Amino acid sequence: MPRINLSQDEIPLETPLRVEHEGHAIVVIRTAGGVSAFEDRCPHADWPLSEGEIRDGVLQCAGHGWEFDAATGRCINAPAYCLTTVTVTVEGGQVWLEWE
Amino acid sequence: MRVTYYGQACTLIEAGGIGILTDPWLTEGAYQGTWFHTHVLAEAGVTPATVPRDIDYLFLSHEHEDHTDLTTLRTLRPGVPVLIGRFGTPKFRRFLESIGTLDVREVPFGEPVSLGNDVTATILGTAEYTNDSAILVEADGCRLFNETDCKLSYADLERLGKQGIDIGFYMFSGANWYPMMYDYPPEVQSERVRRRRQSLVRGFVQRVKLTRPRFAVPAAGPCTVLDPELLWLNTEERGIFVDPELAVAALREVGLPSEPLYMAASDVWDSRSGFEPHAPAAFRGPRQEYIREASARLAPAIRARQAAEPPAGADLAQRLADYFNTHVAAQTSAVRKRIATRLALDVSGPRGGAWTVDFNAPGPEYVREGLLPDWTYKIEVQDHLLYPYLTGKEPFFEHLLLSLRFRAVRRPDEYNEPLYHFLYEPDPEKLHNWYAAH
Repeated sequence: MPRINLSQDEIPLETPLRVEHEGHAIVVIRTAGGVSAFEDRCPHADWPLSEGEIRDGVLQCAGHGWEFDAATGRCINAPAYCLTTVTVTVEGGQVWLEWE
Repeated sequence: MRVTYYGQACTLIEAGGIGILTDPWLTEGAYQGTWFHTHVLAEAGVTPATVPRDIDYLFLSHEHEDHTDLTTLRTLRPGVPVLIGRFGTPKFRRFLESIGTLDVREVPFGEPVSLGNDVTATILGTAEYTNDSAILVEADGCRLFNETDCKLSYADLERLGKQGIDIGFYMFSGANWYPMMYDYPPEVQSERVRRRRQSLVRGFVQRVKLTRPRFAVPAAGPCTVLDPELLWLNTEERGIFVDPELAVAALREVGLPSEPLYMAASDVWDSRSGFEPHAPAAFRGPRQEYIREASARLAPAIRARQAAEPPAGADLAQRLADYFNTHVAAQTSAVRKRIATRLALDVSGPRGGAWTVDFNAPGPEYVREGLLPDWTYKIEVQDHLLYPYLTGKEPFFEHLLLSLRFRAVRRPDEYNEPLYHFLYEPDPEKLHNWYAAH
């Protein structure tokens, strides 16, 4: 199971960050509520979510405007779609990302 | 390469002695009289009769009336080859074949097709459930991309950007009924409109950024509503139909290498000489003023058209039950479960009534008389507008929604995409395969 870590300070507030590791692309999000991470791919038309914007806890895809809850990855427009979640653990200023 | 723009996604591309017309909609009042062009085309001297009859190819991206206009198609020379994408179902092809005068040719997505004289066309397919497509035309060392309304995948757009595009025509506006036709409190409505407009323009900018054309033209998407009762749909506060000049301004503000180009109907772009304005001066004037005046001029014709709409048949109730019972029963239980809605149809008029289509029912009857108290999606519509979709006279149910002549409520207030797909094309195999993969 791939696992990487980065410093919390590397993750800009309210700006999606793309992290690549062994062919996987992850979007990492830091808001006042905490850190979350997902596969960096919108389920609508495969746009990288890291090119999107975060506003009021909502991540909006740059391509066609689909919106996701930045904390849970649940799609707001079409709740049947969810982003593929990456497990996030924050320990002492370090953010660990782990996915299948 | 010389390109004449005729509004929406319609371009006449002339290169290497070949003429290709894309998505011709050269009349006004599509979708039961509601949709008009950004500017009334006839004011620029553009009508179905003025389009060159000797075009060599026609490209039709999809079945929407603002892209596939029967009146315009019937004026083209019989036997004109029509290029369409090879969609998962034959519905669009059969519809075009039923016109009887077109030589319909399905083209595999992503494969360049030689049109002769070193002119090639490549049709690209949507990432969505719908039957939609875009086109790339290459000739004279020049590449033209017309996105139409098609939502391409990121990979396709990225590839186009790497190939290099000289001129691109892009969707930049909303082209449907959300959120305007839903019953929201005014403050909720205006916030949703604001967000949607913002995301539409932003998406336009991002797709231009990704595809990197030399010239970027905001083209497909919006309509202008000239029915005096519905003029509010054209406002920035209440409608999602974006002014093309706002899209140009948004692109300019970002400062991309692509040059934003506002083309009004009848304007020309030539790969050698550049942009040639031909449209009337009024097409570059203040937008809301133009709309008010055009609406005042056309209001009598709009009212006359509405007065002439045929009434609903006495068998509306039976037709409605047959339509929905048949299409719901044809779905697999997995698809019905995904839709999982109770669709209330509140139909006004002499043949009106109330029905609920319960996708959760055990079947084989899914239509119930009356509005079930726990309906989840409600459409309010007049009987004579609904009726032709139940009889099959109008083959594309979504066109009723695009007419913007209905109201809707959803409970909970969430987009039910499987229901939309069912209403769009209730083909059981297509729906089953789509939801097996999504």
